[in-house]
Amino acid sequence: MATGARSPLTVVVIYPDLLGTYGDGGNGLVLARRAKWRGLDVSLVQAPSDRPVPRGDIYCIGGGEDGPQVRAASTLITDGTLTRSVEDGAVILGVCAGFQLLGREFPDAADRPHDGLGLLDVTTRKGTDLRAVGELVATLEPDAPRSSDGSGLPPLTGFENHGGVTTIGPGALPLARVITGWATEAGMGPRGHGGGGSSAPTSTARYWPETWRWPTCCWVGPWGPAGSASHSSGSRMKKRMLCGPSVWPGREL
Amino acid sequence: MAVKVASGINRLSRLLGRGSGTVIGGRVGLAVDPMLLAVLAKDCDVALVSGTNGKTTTTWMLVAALSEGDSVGVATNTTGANMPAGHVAALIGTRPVGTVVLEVDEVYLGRLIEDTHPQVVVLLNLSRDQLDRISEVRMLVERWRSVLGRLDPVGHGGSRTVVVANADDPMVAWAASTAPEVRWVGAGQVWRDDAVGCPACGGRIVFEASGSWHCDHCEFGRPDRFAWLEGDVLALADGRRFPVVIGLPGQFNRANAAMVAVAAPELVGTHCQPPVSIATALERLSKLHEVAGRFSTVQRKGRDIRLLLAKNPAGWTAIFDLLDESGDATSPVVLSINARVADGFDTSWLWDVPFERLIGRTVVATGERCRDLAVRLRYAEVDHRVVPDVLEAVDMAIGNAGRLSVATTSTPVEFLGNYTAFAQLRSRL
Repeated sequence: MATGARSPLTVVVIYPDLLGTYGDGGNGLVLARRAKWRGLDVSLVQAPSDRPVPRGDIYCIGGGEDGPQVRAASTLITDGTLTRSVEDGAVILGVCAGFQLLGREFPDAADRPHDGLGLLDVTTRKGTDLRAVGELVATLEPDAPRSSDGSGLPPLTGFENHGGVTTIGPGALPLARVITGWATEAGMGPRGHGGGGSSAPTSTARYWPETWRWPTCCWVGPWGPAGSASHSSGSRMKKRMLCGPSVWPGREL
Repeated sequence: MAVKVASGINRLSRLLGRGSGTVIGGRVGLAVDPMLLAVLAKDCDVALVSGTNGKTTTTWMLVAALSEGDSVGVATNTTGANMPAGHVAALIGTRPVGTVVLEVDEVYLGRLIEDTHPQVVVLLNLSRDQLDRISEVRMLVERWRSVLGRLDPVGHGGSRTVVVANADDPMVAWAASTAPEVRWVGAGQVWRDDAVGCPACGGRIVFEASGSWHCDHCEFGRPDRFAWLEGDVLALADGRRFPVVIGLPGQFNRANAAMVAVAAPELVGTHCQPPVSIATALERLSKLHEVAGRFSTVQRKGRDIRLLLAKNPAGWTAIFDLLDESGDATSPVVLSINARVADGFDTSWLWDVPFERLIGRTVVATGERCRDLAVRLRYAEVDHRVVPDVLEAVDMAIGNAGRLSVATTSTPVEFLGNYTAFAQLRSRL
């Protein structure tokens, strides 16, 4: 919660029963553990879809299948807590389906559009190409979030597995550009900030409303330094994006 | 022609030492004649076994249940080559055959049903596994549903196809509910995290304390069961009860046995006279103690090493239950992870495995993706060592077990690997 006492730090994993298909529950665990190891008082809350969404400081929403994604979005809209929490300064780490449903619209299995939460100016449609599946590396945009000491974040690595393609509206900005992955192979090159009508695979880009404060710090996934792993991408988690205004001034994880 | 080509290539492959010769010949044979599987299976009594977890074990069990003494007379793909090329090889390798039991990769179930006109189809469970290939569990469910809906109640050769399906798994139930004839078995399904979203309407599946389930929005619910498992007893709706005392460990293997006990009597073709009874099937399962090395114990440096295979979150969770049930709480554990094509290239699923349950044990991480595993273990706060070479990892676990105390020198080492990691260890022991 952005108001009042900041302790304990509450990390909420949204609807692991609907949006936990691709290992994204690990995001909440990683955030909570790193906070704990830095001496922060932190609680990790799993929020199933049959109960009201609890108030939290960081929300993690993961990837899921088409049907459960529709259910999750409508339930979150009805619940209302997530939207109110973001207005109060909470942060969302949205990945895959969990990112798509934060936008204006996303498709179901039959390509019918469904309302998202509208927290991001992005729209997702079904792609016309084959499903995007494979290892992924993306470099952050120059004006993407930095550590509080000013250093840039290392490349994002992960594994993409999605059929949706997201269009960025004028009120959103990308997080990163794909250098290895489906996007480049499909000839979908990088595009400029806020370029309305341009598109990017949903799992590779990060957007946030320009009107919001730049994050002063953020942390995404447990990546290791290049070459730290014996094979391919090594220590890393899945595709992920961060959205929302910033986070914990002075409380970098 | 295609048969001769395929069996010739298999022989060549074995002679050249390029493999066990089960798949390459099948591939070539299918290239020569795409209908080769249908040709080979013609006039056979066929049973198919599919699902995410337990396919190989259940296939072995069904072969054992249908066999008196040794398994002569039943053609099967015991090596786990569960795609059409492997099926062709299995049928060619044991000709002439009458009874066929095939383990079938989930994606190929439709093709196998169409090509082999099975009398029995056993559907175990469906959960997340190799999602880089499967994409979504519900996509697979819909494919199964469509294929099973096309089954003819009076099928090939005047017989029918009976589907034996796990009623406790909503995904399997949705897929199989289109089939004309289903024997629903309450075999249990511990892993529920892929079944909460109703496959029928998008509502929410509610699991009741009794183990039953229903959708909160539509009429979809657990079907009426023909039989169900109550601990180690198989109870039938008609009141009969059979003890399930089998040679393999774990509740999930009792579940597999329950499926087999119901499936075996349904194979009633010309080659299975008279049909096997439930009691006979279960009695035969008591003599099965390992499956392709799985659940087996080997000796190394004077210590027992138990070999266990798990390849996805549901499977690992079941194996951890097995450790709690039949293992020693102080046993050192070697975990081995690869990410080859047969394993799935994406290791994200490691984050869904409750490795936290290993806290307090001696744990060694190995395999080609041992560092992905190590990151996961670190966040689970499981103390561990990383030893990339699998044999060195096992030896380190053996050494550590010896150092714990005098009382633990006989403690077995538990080896848990995913698909190709398991095969790598076996080939080097």
